Amino acid sequence: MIITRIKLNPFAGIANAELTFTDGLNVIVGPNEAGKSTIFRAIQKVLFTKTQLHRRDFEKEISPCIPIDGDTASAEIQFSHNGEQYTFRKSWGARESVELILPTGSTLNDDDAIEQKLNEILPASEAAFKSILMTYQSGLQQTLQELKDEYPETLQNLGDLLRAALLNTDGVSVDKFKEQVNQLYDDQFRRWDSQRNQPEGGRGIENPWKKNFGSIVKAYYLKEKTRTEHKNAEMLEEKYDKLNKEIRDFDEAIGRMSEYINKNSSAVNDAHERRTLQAELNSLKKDIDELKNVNENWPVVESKSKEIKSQLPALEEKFKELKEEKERAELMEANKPLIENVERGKRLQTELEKAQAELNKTKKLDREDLKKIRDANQFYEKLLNSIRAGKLKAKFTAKRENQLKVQLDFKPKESFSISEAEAKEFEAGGRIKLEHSDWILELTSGEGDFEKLEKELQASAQNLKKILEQFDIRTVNEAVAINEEYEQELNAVKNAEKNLKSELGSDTLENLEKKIEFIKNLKPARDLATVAVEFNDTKRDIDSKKNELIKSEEFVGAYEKKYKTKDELLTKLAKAFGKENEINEKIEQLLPLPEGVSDFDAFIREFEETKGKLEEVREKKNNLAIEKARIEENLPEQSVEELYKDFILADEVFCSQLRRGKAIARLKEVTEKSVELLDIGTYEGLENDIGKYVAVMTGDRYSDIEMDGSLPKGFVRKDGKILPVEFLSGGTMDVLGLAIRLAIAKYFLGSSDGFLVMDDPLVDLDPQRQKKAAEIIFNFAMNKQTIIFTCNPEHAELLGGNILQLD
Amino acid sequence: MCLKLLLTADVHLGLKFSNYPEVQQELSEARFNTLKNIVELANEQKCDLFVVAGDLFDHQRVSERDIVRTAQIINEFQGKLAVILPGNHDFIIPNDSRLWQKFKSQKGDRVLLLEECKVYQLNHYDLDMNLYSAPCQSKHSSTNNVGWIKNISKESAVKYHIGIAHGSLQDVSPDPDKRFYPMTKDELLNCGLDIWLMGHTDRIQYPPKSSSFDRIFYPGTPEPNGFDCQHEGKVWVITLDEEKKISASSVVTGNHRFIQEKIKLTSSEDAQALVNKYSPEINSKNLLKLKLTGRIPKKDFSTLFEILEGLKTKLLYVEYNTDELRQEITIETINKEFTEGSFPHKLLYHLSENADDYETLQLAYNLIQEVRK
Repeated sequence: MIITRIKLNPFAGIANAELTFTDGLNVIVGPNEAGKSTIFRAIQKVLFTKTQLHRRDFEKEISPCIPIDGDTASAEIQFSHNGEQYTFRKSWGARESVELILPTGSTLNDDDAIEQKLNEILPASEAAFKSILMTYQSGLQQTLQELKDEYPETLQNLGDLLRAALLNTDGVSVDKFKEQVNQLYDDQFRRWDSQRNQPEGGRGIENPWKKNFGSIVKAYYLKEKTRTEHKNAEMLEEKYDKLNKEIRDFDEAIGRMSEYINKNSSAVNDAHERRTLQAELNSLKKDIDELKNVNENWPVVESKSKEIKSQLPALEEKFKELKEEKERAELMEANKPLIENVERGKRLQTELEKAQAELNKTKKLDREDLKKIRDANQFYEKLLNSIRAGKLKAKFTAKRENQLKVQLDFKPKESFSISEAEAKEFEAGGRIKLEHSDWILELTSGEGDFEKLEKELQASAQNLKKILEQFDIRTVNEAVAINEEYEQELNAVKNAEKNLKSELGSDTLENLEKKIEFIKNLKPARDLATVAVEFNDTKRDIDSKKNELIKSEEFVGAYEKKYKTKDELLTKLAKAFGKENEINEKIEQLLPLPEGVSDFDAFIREFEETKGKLEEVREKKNNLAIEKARIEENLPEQSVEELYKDFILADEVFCSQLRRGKAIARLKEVTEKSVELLDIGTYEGLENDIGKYVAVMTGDRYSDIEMDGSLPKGFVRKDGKILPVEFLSGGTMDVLGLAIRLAIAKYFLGSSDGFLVMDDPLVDLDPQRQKKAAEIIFNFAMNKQTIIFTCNPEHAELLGGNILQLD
Repeated sequence: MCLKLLLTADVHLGLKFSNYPEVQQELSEARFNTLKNIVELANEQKCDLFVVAGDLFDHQRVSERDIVRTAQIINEFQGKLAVILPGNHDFIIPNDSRLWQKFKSQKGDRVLLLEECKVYQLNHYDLDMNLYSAPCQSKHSSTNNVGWIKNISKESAVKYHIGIAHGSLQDVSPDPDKRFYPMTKDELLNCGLDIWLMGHTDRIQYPPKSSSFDRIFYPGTPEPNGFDCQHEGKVWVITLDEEKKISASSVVTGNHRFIQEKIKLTSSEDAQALVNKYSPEINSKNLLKLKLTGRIPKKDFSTLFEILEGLKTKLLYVEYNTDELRQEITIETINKEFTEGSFPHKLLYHLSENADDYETLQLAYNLIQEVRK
């Protein structure tokens, strides 16, 4: 965009003016108040200020531009873009209008549409124009000087300076901004412990910070205050409710108990009276009972006494006899084993005598006898056997019939007849003897002397027979049987003797009988157990009778002592009956017990308890009433519901403050970070241009700029020495300012068509540098349209170009 | 003979409105004016009975001056009888209630305070009716006071049998913890009365639209008392005819109206619509609480605040919350207003990249405007 013409008709103090610009350097020269600033403002307003404005914006942006005697400000800019011509016209105030005539001849009349179109045409942003490309009376060099003065410590080199310059573009001082953010942060967070989400030091509403706290703490305290008020009110309300209920309950109880007391007080008085009378009556009844008792008992005990006295002598006699019998029985009991000993001895003696009698009746054939018999028999048998042990066989054959006798061994002779030619065989041990009337044939076995043997045999048989005859028996077996019987009887005697001996020991029966002989002389007695029982019974009977007697006599004594005579006793009893009647009559006069109550004591007790309880309850109720009055004093003058609304609102405010705090904290964080971000990559390309401009303007005194990474560090002097910014002179500083200005302008405009507007940059330079600066500006204007305002004609001349003179 | 009555409740005299310091006095006072208007309305309508079904007062510590003038206002009722039932806010402690003792000392002959749960026979007030009263005796109660009515015999010689109670009604007024004398419709209807005059819920009128079948009536507050009360403030004027047929009409009585709105703005037009809606013909007695959300172009932002501030001059009270309202700061805005490479440009650009930073971006933007030379 290249501005070709500007028309003001009217605009601020200028009623009508028209200036035509070339696309190179244009210098508008005129004395102060000639309208330079009005022209500058007109360009700016036409390009960037809408016609439809809210009142406030209008006041701020346009009001100064309205002519004093008019109501409308109008201006027009003609400009070329890519070789095509545009006309841009605006009026503000009463006849507000906007018009952008396009190369095609068509027109835009809407602020927004025009703005959009302009954005396409303008080579840099509105902001870049306002702060870099169109500056009036806010020279950058001046800014640089301010920065240098403001931050002498931090501006150590060109980089710092450049950064400060760029950062502060748009009129926002980073430090001031940071300061503001910190202030905001502080105002918001002071005394607030974000981590614990409470005031610092845990100082809640009960121990609050008194001053110097931020908005969050303030909102927190307010919220807590309303919350506490609400809670307290709620608590009080509940307590109040509870108290009222308790008081109501007490009142009910008091009513109930008072009614009971009123209703029953007479009855209870009578009940008291009744209790006294009843006690009296009870005591009287006891007396009557006693009198009656004595009255009955007195004759009874008297006769009892008499009876016992009559019974006692017989009993005592009986006791004496029993005692003697008991002594005898005891003696008998003591000798009982000896007596039994004697009896058993006698019995055994009898048994012995019996056994002996039996033995005497038995034939005597003892073991010796039996042995003799057996021996004789054995001897005989032995002889017999030895004959029988030989073997003789004889065969006899008769030639004719014959009569014969045969004797085999010692067997008797047997006759036999034998027929003709008959043969007979005989067998024997030692002898076969055949006797014929004619002859005797005796056959014997070879070794023995059968004759002798026969004699011995006969002798032994004789002997045996003789012995057996001695015992009047015939066989050995008989002897054995007799011996057995004899031995048996003998044994019986021996056993009886042994038993007797064992019973008597070394003593004799006679001796023993002598020892117990005296008992036989005693008077007989029953067994000790029977006697002892009877003895004891009798003794007890006597004792009991005696005791009874004593008691009876005591009673009688006591009665006599107390009542003297039975008549007197009767008189007393009659009196007591009279008294009893009297009391009963009194009781009948008294009020009865309430219905359902049967026990006077329980009734009185209940009445008294109720009375006590009533007092207790009354006192409790009074205490509650005092407490209630205290609570009433403290009851809030707002309902809990209303207080709750207050709390909700305060809580909303607190949350809103927290949210705002969060945004502020975030802004603080991002602000810190943004400052760091600014260091990177902003300055590339700028330094070359700055260096070039500085070298030209200082007559090559400074040849280059020393870089430190992407940041320029300082000027390099011809001798190679690097000069930090703080050592630059004021003039050189102005040079630097201009250099930066031009470099940045070039940077923002890039390759587009564009323009740079500034006020006189030569003001504080020495003539030498003015010349050099003018050259540079001129050269700059060769590529980018430049419009300079100056009040100095010399400067205008020095700068050259299209000079536009204002009157 | 018909019976005509005006039913109100929940007047909450003595509310402080300390959250609205600028208009506190007016709001507190308005409730007395409304009471006065209601009494006048009842007089105009020639009501026989003027009924306050609880919470005539907001709390126990209402000033003596306010108690006295309340009694005086009610004394102005020209019908046969005004009955006042203690509600849970102005509950009564028989013979021991400063509030009600003072009120009783000031009330006229034709004003009856229903102190007890009992049948009030009103024939000596020339009313052929028995009133079955269930006053509150504490702020909270998990049981209601109407239980005794069901089993009590209703005098057949008396024409109208009317119940009056204060507390929550299931499905009508919320009482999740059952702390406010909770009642049910069945429970009330089973008492065998002709009509129930109720109080407690100030935010709504019940039934929403009356028919001749309705037997239970809650008037709502006659004068709105906060932004949670969105209606205009109403009473019931109820007639029971010879056949005990009920006809009820709702009458608006509120002086002030609390209007709460949440509005999403997207452009200056929305903001303008807001002005149109609330500024020109709006009643100067209204209170407005706005919650603004959405995004509007930066250029409209300051205008919006002008509009909102302008509303304040037209309404009694305007409160707005713009915490969730964003001015649209786009990358275009940033590029337009700030030089690339400058600190504000860097900062805002960085913040605009993250949607979460929107509030921070606003803050930064506003702060930059302040700091800018």
